[in-house]
Amino acid sequence: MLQFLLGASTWALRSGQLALARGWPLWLLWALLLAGVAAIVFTLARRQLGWWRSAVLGLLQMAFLALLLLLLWRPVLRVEQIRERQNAVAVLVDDSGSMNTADTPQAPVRRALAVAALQEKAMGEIAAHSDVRVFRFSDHATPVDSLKDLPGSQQSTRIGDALNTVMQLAASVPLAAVVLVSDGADTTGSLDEPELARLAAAGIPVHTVGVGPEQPQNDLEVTQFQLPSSAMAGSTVRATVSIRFQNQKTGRVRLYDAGRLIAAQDVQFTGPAGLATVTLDFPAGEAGVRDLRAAVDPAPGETRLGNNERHAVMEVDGRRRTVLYIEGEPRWEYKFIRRAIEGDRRLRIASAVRATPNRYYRQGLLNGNELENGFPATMEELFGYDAVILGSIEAAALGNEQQQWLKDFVDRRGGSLLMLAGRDGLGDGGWGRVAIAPLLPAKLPGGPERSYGMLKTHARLTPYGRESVVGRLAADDAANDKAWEGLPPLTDYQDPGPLRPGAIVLLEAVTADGKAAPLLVTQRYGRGSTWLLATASTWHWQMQLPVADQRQETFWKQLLYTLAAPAPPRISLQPERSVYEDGTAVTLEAEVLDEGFKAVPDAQLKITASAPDGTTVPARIEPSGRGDGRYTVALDAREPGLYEVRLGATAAGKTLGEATTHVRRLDGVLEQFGSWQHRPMLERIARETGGRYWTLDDLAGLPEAIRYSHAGMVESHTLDLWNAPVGFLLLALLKGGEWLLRRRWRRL
Amino acid sequence: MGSRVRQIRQQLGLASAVALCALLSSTVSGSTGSGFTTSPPDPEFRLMRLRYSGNYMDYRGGAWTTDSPAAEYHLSQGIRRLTRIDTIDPEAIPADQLVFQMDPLDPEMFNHPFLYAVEVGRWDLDEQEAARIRDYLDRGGFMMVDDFHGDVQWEGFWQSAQRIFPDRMWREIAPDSEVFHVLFDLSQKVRDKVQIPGSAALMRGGTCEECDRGGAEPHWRGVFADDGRLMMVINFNMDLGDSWELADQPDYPQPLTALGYRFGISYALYAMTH
Repeated sequence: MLQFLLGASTWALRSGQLALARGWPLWLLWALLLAGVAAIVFTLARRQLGWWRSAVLGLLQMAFLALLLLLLWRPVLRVEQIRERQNAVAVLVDDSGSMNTADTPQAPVRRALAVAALQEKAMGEIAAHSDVRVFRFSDHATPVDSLKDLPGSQQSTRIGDALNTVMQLAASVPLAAVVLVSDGADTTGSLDEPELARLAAAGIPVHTVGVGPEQPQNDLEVTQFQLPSSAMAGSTVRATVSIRFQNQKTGRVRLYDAGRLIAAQDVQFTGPAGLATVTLDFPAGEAGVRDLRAAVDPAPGETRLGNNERHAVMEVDGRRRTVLYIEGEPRWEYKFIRRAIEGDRRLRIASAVRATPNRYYRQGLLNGNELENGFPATMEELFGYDAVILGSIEAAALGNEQQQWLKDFVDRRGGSLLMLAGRDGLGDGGWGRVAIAPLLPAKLPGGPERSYGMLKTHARLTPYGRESVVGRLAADDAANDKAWEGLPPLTDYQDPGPLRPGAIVLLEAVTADGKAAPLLVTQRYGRGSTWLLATASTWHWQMQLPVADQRQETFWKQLLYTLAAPAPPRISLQPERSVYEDGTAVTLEAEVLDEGFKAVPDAQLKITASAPDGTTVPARIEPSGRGDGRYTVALDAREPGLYEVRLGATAAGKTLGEATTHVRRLDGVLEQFGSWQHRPMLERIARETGGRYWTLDDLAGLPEAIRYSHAGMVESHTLDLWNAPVGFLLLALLKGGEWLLRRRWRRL
Repeated sequence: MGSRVRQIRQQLGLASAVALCALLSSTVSGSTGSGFTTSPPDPEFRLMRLRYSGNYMDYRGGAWTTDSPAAEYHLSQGIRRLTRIDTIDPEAIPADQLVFQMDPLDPEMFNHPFLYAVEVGRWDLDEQEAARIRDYLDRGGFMMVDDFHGDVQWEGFWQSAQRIFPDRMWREIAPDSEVFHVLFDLSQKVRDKVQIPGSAALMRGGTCEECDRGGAEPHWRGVFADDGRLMMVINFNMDLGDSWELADQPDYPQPLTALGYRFGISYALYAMTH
């Protein structure tokens, strides 16, 4: 109807250029129009109509005159149309995993829906004017004979690469347009900004046809599964699982290690749709690799189950960690900290307590030489520990060189430093004026006023503390809060001073009148971290609670594990990520350091990578070139499964050490995620290239749109518009309207 | 007039800049201190006497107070002089606060993990008191018993001690045990069975009391936790309390009072490290 009225198709109007074809001068048109307007004004002014009636009639007459003059000057539309049967049109159908799933239990898969719509509404007419080339694509584009030849794959979607392949057709045949049929989920990032710019520069319009729902429907999806890449044997590990939901109320997340259930947690979904995050604590267990899978139970009626789980690999490090504890005076906190981890096979506290002004009493030693003078004799010896605790000992007890070692211990070695409150602890010990002061999470007070004293407070978790393993005394959140609330009071407090901007408060000390101040504070510094505990009376938790109550032990175990676990080994091998989904190029980074944790840039590395079937996979090693002891290791992991990569490092004929890590390769995963229709992406492709976005229900106009493409072999046409019915209709309406008004106003 | 206005403007500008800096500083630095008011630290270590029930009363008020307050006075000075253990300064506190006594049923006992019981040969703990002390020791407390002699007093002691440890038995502490090495090397003294006498024995010209009824030989006995920690040290047939109390008496042998200090300090240090 619209095409009849306008005298041309909407696509012709959209793509063509308007012109006046009579050849008469344009100034004449304007002159006649002005003269006509003057005559209308003059005529109406002589009649006694009133100003607004004159204005209405004048406007109608002027519009009539203007339209009449325009038609006399013969308006035309100059359009370009593809030449009949001389152009190719590429139809590119997404055949990836996401297109081969159904959105409702009884519905055909998306690919089938798309093919049916194309065949019914567009393909016949496109083929009548052009040579249709059909391609299927997932991770690459392949020509097929017809739309029937789409077998369906589970591979990832590389829209950018597929469009690039098809665009190369333009070099051999005139390509009028590309029709891209997809859900728009590019799972590999192949369609980035430069790629879009290249497509736009090719000048070939890409018409995109969106398939699938624009919002996920009754589909639970594990969007993220995060946990540390490595953990200490025997420690508690926290995993974070994020789930996208729609209308579900509750769910249950389960964590499996090599198929064995190791943790589970209920999750409440609030709101109609969104993201919910759940944390699961689980025991790291013994040394080795943890092949983990986080899965959310399917919602009732959910059909798309492939995205209900995600994988991760975690290395459990069997190295026994050692914490160095230097205490300046015998005190109960020292005793009860030691007792908390007594008998722990994975953590050793080597401690020296200054029993007399010039004698240290040492415990937890490996040999008689350890800490002979109350502190490591060399920097290398200090760097052999994973964490350091400084108790009530004044800074002056250590020399400048030892202070510097401590700074390097945190900054370069990547160890953790915990400072405890005490008569000679924190600010009162002069620690605010020495080399490690800038590393600490608070600016320790340094005035003559004592910052340590007696005060009854309760320890309370902050939101950060709740998220930290350190603050976990019970499995679920409510029980955990209750466990902290029920702890006996602390009896002392030391003001740590103003917190630094990067400080994180995990625990607060709360007085009876509700005032709160930082109790356990930490911050990252360099490769390590520093911690302040503004009390030395957690031992009351042990003495005031029944023997069976393990809260004091649990707190200290978790705190010491948290301190000691992140300390990196001298030889490390870290994969870029632990799971490679639908990608075979695995990249790892090796770091080789000497006993002083200085880079070894000329180490000889031996990499042994084993595929799941036990065969050896060749690996390439390249030094970073920056002399920082880092090396990039690359391997091609073609087969899915768990790969083991071993590194051995030597330098100058001396063995430096070895490291082992694992990565998991998975296929057919990415297509399961984010598989709703990504309409904004499809619209952007169409907009950038001069095409248009279409839905499956709205495909009838596609052949016409392609006919008016500017690409390929085109020819110019001039379409007359002066004889379009809409012009005559308007003239009649204007005159008719004037006649009716005059009649109504009795001015005929 | 114009210069006055300029001056006011400058002052306002300066004040605004100072206020802005203060605001930014508080925003960036976060907390500016706890704002808590604390009192001076309590002594970390106190010799806490067990005010047990069931024993006889004497003119001093109770057997548990034997040797006080001089023992506390001297021992605390010795601890302060020889170690870095923070304990009371007897010169700085009133004399009536030198002695620190505790009923076994008082929950405050759990705030002081070192317990001293003297003249325990005639103590008579009831089940409730014994259970409380057992709990105290199981949680990490340490107990030193002293100044009882001979077989009869041992039996009296162990009768109540058995209520504390219904499923444990005492045993001799080996001379090379850690408690004798924690600061001083006391193992030879233990091997040589050097008896630290009470004043009564010294007055009789010897070192033992109940000499012919099982009191002749000193014994360092102990009750141990499952993990090997010494929970109770039993100074049988000796009187460390007197060696501390009589440190300033010319007739008490100096080597023995020095040894008494060393044992007392070793027990304190062991208790604070194990």
